Amino acid sequence: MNYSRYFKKVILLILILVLASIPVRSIELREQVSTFTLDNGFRVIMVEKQGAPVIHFRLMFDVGGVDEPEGLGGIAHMVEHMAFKGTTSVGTDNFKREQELLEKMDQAAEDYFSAREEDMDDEEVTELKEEFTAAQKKAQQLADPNPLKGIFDKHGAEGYNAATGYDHTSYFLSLPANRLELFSRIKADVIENAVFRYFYEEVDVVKEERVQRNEDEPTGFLRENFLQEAFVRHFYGRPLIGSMEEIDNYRRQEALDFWNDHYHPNRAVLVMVGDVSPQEDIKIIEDYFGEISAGPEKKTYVPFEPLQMEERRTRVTFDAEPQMFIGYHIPTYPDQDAYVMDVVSSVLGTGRTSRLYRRLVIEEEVAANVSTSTGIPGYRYPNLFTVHVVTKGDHNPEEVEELVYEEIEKLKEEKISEWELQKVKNQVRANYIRELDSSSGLAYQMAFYEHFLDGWENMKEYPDKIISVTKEQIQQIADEYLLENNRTVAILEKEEGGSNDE
Amino acid sequence: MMNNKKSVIILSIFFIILFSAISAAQTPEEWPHPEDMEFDDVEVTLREADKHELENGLTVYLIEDRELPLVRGEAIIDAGNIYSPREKTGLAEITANLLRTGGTAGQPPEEIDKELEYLAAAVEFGAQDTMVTGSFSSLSDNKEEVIELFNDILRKPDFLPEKIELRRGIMEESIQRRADHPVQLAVYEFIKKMAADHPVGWFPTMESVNNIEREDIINFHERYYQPHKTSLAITGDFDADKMLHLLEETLGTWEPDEVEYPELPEFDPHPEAKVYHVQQPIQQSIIFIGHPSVKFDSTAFPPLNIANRILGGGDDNRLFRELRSKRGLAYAVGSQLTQGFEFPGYFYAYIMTGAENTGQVIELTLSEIEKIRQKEVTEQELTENRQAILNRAVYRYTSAEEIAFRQALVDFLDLDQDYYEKYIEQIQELDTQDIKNIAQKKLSPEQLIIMVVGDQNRFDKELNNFGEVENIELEF
Repeated sequence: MNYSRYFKKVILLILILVLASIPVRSIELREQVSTFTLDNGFRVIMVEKQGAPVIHFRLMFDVGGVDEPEGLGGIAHMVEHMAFKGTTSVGTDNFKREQELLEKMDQAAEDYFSAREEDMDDEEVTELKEEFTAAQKKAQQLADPNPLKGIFDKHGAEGYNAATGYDHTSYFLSLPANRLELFSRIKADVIENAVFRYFYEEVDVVKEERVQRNEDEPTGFLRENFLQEAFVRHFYGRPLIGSMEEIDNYRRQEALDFWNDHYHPNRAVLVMVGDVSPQEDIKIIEDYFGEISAGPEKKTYVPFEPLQMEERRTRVTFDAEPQMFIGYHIPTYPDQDAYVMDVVSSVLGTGRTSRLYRRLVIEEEVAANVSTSTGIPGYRYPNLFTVHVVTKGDHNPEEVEELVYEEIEKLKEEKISEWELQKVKNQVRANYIRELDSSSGLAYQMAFYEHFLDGWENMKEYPDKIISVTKEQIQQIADEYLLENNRTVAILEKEEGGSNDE
Repeated sequence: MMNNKKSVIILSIFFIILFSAISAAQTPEEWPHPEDMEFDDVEVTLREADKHELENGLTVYLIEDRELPLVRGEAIIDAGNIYSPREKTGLAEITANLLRTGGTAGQPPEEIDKELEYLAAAVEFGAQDTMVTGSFSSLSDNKEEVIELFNDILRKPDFLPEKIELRRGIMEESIQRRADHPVQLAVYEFIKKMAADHPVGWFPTMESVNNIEREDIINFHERYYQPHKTSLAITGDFDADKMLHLLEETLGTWEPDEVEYPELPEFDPHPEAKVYHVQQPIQQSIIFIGHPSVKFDSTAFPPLNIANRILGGGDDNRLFRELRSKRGLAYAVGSQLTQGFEFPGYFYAYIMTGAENTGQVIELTLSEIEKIRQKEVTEQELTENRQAILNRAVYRYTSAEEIAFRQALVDFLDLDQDYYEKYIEQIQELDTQDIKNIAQKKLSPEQLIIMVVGDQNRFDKELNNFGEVENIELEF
């Protein structure tokens, strides 16, 4: 060991001490945070952030895939699409007339769907289908299928989009800061007066989306099968986008009912990050979002997932090279065990020095990649610790699977090193700071904590929770949850006769 | 927990009854219509990086930004994929990757991984067509340590043989898996055809990856990684004078050498119109339709960019309306005009649709392209898209990191310093006739390449309705 190497080691040691001794609390959210709650329950969190005169908006509802009624799988995602279709005042010049045409179309749709279900003779079904198509065309004539995108685009919106998860639904975009009124005018109107125009056209769009994400794409296909196997009762096991059959049978009215049941100001949190002026901005927000009425606090009954008693396995075939998901049921936040699992996940699967990456990718060369997560399928309910493996060469998933279990057993047998534990803690602290740097990441975290973890402020506790994790807890948690009978394994294999078979 | 749940359920029944009487409301009369809402332009404070050239020719761009205790850097190096010889395609990529993973100055890669990950820092290198980018990210407490490592990684790679084999295996695996993801497969085959054998359209194959030897990697690094061919943007929580001093002590000792660049063939932007089909047993057809286009700094780019926005590139565009919103034919649909800097960019439309709609979708897409060539766009379409571009200018100043990197990129690509102002000026002067003229001139039906990845047994129309068809046999 030469002198400079030795010197580096000393520096490293000093750093270890320094990092360990910095109280995490010293890294506060340095930005100014202001919060408001309107009379109708609409919550607003504003974060002042230096930079250009722009604001990033995230409007999150505490409604997602788990809130869907039986048989209407994917309807949360469907109404998310419909929230881009305008309102009673935006998207048509004559809503009264349009409404009549939409109702006629609904009737024609109903006639056609019931004929299809009742197996009427082909001729009759075809005829009803034609009538339905004609009614659709008529309703189209009075309406703009895409009335909001152009307006936001013209005003300089960036990243105008939405996302539906099992836990929640978010609408987000960035705008020049002085366009707050435009945002408020449109979004408040959508919450209260959304018109589901071009509905059945959009059903076809969502069917294409399903094929693209989950049927023609091997990882999406495997993930869907994996979750179905892992959750036998809890709604986390349903396809988030819905099954093809469910999507194909959506009715416009059912979608509207779902919207009216859930998407209200009292179910929403708006986070604004950027060039905000809280005292002035809240007045504008109040002028619009304050005008819409609160709705029911309708909470969905989501069944508990029964304790898993034995390992579950599923194999699917696909015209693609093999990959594999392994999942263990674990608790979610704010259960202390969930934080310990975050550390376990990091020790096993984050970075090149993580145990699984080292073993599978670097040392044994049996995998092209491996990654771990504690966030699948969501966080609102007990979820899964997952390992995803992309195998390499002729190594089959079962062979790689054994190595994964060996690494998990090691966690139980011996305490992890001080170095590994400290590494993970350092990374959590740094990632927390990096999160603060990203407007969209910060807005997401704050909205999530505000909805589901008792207030956005609790987000600041996260690094502390991780710092408090001990080596003993890691051993205990591995002993408690990372067990064969708590495990689901899903393997994707190449089809027999596929191009790589010999 | 259980009790809580129960009370929530009971509560909900109460509320449902209470609220079910509310009937559909309508937008309050006094709310302005969004189309009528007008706003002032926003004032932007222009920020600029301090530019310094070290004695060895390395250019540095610095912005102090003390909001968070982070320091980030991004280097651009003139050592991209286009310099890989054809029979060794992938050489630039494997070289860039091995800098970080192949050992440094006698220190094994495992040590480097440990050191960086313990500091919660990152250093990564990757090759693109015309450049290599190398980045680092660090808490400000550890910036000296991380920059020293970055310097070692960039300049003193060991390229350990076993690590070359490891990376070769991972590259081969990703080549083997190319056909697994239909969209990725379509992009790959489409770009190959559009680039018509030019190096920007070469992709690594099993053979070319296998041909790469350790000597090639060492030589490639020695030849192309040069301080005077490198720009480095650093932003974050540091003192600029001290940072400059640190850079002089580290990267400043890098000795420059003359670079001899290989002669690159002309990029032929005039391929023949043709239909290519890749048979895959999938439900959707992945369709790309396009051809090579113009360079970013050409005067054709601004009007063509507007034409493309209206056709399929803007947030509210014709292809999206016609194929998706009105007909429900696709989830993913649109068009793009890429920014070609050293070579012309590409224009293309993309659609993923059920195989049974393949012919209909190709027809509709071709007719939208024809329409924008034959008929003037509306005044409203032009104004909205012009406004969109002007109003987005503000995002150019949202992050110090982006500002500094963009400045580095402008110099690296040798663009005019006021290229953006000129672009905006031109955008403001365009009329609908200009859009039609450029569409006629630069969207060329006689050059359109149509790439279809999908199951021909389910197509609604034979592909030879759209031109001569060539079936592609996959070989990687």
